[in-house]
Amino acid sequence: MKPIVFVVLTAAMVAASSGCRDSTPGRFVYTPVPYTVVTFPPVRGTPQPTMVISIEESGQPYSADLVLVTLDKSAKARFMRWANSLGFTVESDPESDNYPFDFIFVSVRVPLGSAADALKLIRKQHGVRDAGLSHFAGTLGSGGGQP
Amino acid sequence: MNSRKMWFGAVTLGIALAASASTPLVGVSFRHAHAATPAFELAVDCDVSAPGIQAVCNVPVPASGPRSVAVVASNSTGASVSLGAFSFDIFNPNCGGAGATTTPQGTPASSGCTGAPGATGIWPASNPNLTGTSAGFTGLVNAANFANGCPAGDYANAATGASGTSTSFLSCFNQLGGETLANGASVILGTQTYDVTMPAAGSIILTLSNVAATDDNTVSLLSCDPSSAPPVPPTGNVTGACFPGTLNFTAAPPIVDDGSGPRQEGTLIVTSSLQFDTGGLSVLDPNAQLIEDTHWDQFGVRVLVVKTLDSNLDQLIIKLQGVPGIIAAGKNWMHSLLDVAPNDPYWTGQNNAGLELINLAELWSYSTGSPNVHVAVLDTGVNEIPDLQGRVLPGKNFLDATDDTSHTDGHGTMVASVIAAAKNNGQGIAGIAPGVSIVPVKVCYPIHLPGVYGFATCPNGPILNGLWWVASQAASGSIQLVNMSLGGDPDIPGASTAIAAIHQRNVPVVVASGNNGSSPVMYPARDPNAIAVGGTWPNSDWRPDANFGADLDIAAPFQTYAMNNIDAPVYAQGTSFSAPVITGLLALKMSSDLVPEGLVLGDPWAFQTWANWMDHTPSHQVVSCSGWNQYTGCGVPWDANDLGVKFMAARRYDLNGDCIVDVADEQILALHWEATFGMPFYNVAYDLEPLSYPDLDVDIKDLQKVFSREGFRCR
Repeated sequence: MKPIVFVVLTAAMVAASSGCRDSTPGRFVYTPVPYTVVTFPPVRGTPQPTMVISIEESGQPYSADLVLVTLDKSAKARFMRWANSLGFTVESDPESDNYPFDFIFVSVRVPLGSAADALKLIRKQHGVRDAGLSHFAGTLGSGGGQP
Repeated sequence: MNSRKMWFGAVTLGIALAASASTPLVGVSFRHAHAATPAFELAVDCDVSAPGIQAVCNVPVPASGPRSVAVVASNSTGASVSLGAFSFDIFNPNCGGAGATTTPQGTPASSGCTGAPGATGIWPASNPNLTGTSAGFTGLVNAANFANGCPAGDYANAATGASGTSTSFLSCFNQLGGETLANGASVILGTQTYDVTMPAAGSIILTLSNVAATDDNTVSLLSCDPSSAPPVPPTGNVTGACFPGTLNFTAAPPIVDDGSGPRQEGTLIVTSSLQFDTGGLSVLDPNAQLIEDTHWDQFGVRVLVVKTLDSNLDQLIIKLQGVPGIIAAGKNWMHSLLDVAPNDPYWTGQNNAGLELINLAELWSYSTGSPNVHVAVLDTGVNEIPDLQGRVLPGKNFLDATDDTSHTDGHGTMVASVIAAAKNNGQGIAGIAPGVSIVPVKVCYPIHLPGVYGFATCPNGPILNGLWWVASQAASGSIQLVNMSLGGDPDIPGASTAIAAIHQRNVPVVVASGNNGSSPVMYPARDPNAIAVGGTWPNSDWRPDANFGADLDIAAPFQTYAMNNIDAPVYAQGTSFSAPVITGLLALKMSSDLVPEGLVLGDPWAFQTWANWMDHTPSHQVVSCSGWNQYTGCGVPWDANDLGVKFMAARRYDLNGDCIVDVADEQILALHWEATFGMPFYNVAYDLEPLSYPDLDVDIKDLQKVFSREGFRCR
């Protein structure tokens, strides 16, 4: 059973007219990447998802406003202070603070179209073990055919 | 090589098996005197250094007329060998009177048979191949022999078929021995002739016990004719250790089923240390009686069969727990040969789609899955459909803040059903591990995003949250397995750390390889700590739309039937449905671990082979095997050469646990079960030869088919 594809384009193509800007401490300077806001129809059991998608040169879509970060748990507070100072929002599962690991996973919400530039900055921060763009996987099978 | 076991060949029958040049080789075979060609063609070996080993042959005989059988030993060791003591017993079940439990050698009129038993033994002076002296073997079981130091009452019991115990059988027969058999020579150890008219043609059953060569306590036993009449139920057959010890004329306990599965009534299987004092059993339960005691020196254990009142079993099991030297105790479940095809309507379709590659009936004889095994399914959510009723546990939803883990597009439920759908509930499909529990971890939206492989979209963020949550659950022991039927081209940043954290808790992460027929396999399948599962056609050949490459570990059928809701199953395709097959197999393994009564008794090697399955190898593959290839990895488990799951299945044929599948196992089979078509315990899953069709008889050839595929011995 193939899911119905229903994509609504609500905004498109923020032009990269602003160009590069200088970086200064306490200020996040980035080059906006074109992005698309994609809203999917509501489906029973899930909220109506809206995704902000940019496309890599390879053709892979990724979230234009999200960076995925694995941190040393001890560095989380410091990282959040830094991120907040730049206007980023750090999101994490509240339960994860209690997980018995030295690492913690957080999602960093960044300005639309800035994920790639934000990633470069985040990777340099203390305690960051791994960071990357938020791509998408897919389920690898479907039903409904015939033997 | 286990020095206590050797290979034997029956020179008299023209059959010789390979043997070490330095290894003594003795074959003992039964031969039917009236057969134009030798009735027995298999040479076997058996270690009877532990007491209690018996071998039983069924020899078809006509209803009347003089007949005879012979026990023949042959030596092709390259050197002379010394023969130790032996005994054997012949009886005809057609001559059993009312209430008879055993009838040695086909007597007497009171049992419905007429004629003379006529027993003659030949040993050894008439055979020039033997040197040495015999202390006085005069024949088989007959009055004269019993008179030779044995209480007459014992013979009376035997002759009339009455129940009884001969406490002096030993003294009757252990006068034998000390003879030397020259290399290349054969000798008739004993014969039995009789002229008894039976009510009908039937078979005589020969029981040979404790034939021992004095060298290294290694002995040879008889061989059986696989084309002989179907095994006859051994009700009333001699059970227990004949030598040394007592010969118990007791009927085999009946099979009962009080809802938990068939088992032998009133018997416990107890695994103990070698030093365990069995005398204490009667203290724990005055009715407890030790009826079998098998030493497995190589394992450092004994396997005891204890008989008591059926109503006492549960209490005795509790009492045995904690007793020094007791390793395990459980009821005598009949795990083998009893599992039949489930009645789920799409089971046939599942088999045709490729599950027949995996001998699930075999695996289910170990376990059908424990609800204590919790399988996390990172997917679109799982609905508690009837096939999963009562086994969908609270999970986690990482798509929103709700606790709703129900499915959004059916994919997660389909995957869960392949793992754990109930079997024998008359609906839907049968899962690989029908008893395990599912923990839904909802990480995929029911939408398709252009540019993303697959049918539902799983953002990396929820996947990572899901993995770390699973890691925390694994750390607390709440999750034992993870299935991820999802993937994509890019790595998921940080996922490797999370998967490593899960793996470090010995929780396997099983992942689909991808469906675009390219290399490498997708991520997270190619993660170093994931088990990457490829896809095959029903015949186990690589299916070209399944991803492949250096990181592939294993394969399973690409297509199957799965439940996406309470409706009829759907035909489903994708490595999404290959991965849960492997997950289910691992779940069975873990279920066996968690339910020791189900398997561990008498089969101490099975878990080790399973453990080996998860070995890491330097070549990255999580699953280790020989014969790996980039398209199917180690292959479909049953089809792979070196996987624990297959080996474990083969081990099931090693019914006496001596690490060899041989005629002794077949004899155990014959002793305990009827295994021809139409009989309750015939199972086509064991009927493996000839290749093209079942011959409706589970016999030594079937065992040896597995034997030959596995190599001759345990690893």
